Amino acid sequence: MTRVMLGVLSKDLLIERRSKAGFNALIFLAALILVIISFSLGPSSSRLQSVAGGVLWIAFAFAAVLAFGRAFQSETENRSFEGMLLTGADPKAIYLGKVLAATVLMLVVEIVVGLAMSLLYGLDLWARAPALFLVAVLGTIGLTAIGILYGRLTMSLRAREVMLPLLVLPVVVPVILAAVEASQTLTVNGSTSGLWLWLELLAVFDTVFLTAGLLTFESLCEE
Amino acid sequence: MADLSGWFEPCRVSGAIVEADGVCRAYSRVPVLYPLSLELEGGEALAVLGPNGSGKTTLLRILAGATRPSAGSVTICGQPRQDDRRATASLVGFAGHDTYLYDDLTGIENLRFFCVLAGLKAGDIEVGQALELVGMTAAAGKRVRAYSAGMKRRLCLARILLLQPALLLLDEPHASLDAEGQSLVDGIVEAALATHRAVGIASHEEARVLRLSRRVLVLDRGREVFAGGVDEWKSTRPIWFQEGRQA
Repeated sequence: MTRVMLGVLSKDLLIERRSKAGFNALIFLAALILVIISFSLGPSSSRLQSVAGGVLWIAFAFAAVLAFGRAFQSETENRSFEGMLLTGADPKAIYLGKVLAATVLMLVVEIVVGLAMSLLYGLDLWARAPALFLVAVLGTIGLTAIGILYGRLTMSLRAREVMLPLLVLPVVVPVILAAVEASQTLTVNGSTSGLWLWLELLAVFDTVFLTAGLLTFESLCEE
Repeated sequence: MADLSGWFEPCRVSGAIVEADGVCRAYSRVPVLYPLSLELEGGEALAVLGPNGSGKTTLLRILAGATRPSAGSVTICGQPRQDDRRATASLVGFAGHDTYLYDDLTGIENLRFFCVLAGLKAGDIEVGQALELVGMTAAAGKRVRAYSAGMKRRLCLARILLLQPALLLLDEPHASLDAEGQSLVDGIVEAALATHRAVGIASHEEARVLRLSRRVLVLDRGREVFAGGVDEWKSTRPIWFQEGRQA
């Protein structure tokens, strides 16, 4: 199982590295959201900082939805996903491999966008970088665990670009809310009081979503 | 032509390699394959013939496990497919219309990934040998996106060589291939049969597949219209088939 999972992870990342268009689009979309919201809120840095956590996760969530669609694009080109299943590989390992690949990709995007935000919004994120990274990891796993599931579900739909955000975003609202609160605690308040509650909540959602994904992905792979 | 003798290890399955019992398929209640039963033993090749839309591909996809039959059952080497599809996966090698290749990976990367998924212990040496046998060594480092249809077809054949399945299912295997590539397909089928494997070939290249096969199954509009030996088919073949309606 581990071999298949790592195989799918490295295959997805290799394809993403070679077709840079997808990664660049994620960065561009997330950065655009930051810029548009900063323009709408005006030049006051205290005002910008007060909503930084929310803005950051809006950008991440929309970039993630784009990433989930792309995660299955290469699988549809030559019906490669069917080919994977015909090898007898464990669908759970395929699911975990794809979740890991999407998580790694999103974390790279989040680091770049986080740096852009610290410049645009005048935030000093360095002191709280390890805690913010932990929030990003937990939040991203919650997003990808559900996103990959729905990415598979909508893979062969003609209107998948429309359906995917409609299906994913309502389900991941609890994850986004917890991640926003945790990020806000770190970026605005600068303290860690109350942070553990949100981190625990994120860990619970990750566990629930990953378990749901592992239990249902195989049946989604049926014709 | 590549020397395939000695590539396949002997297949030690006794009895039928594949048994289909009353398999049929309908899409939105429109039948594309009516109930059909067949059995193939080791060393037997079955030519599946018929006009476009006759159900050849559907039948092979059902046998390969790529399409679920609407009714009926498939048994591979004594194991019912519906009980555990994953257990029978390594026993079947399927080369259909879809290549199952990743365009942004190179040929050799595609094969390595396939080995990982299929749980094969094949290392770089075996992958290199398979590529050499299908004449793809020079192009192995290029991305599949740059391959011609024939090159992609050869890479699919390399996958079958690595898997060494008990049942080979080939859907239009000669399509897109040059003369050397078509001989390669014939060589693979002959080597598989010599090692007691079973082969199902759907094709419009009737003369070519009849040379390789012992039995013939003819479909028309999803129904079985003939099932028997090659000689019997040659002597009883209906006029509409001789006039090339199958093309």
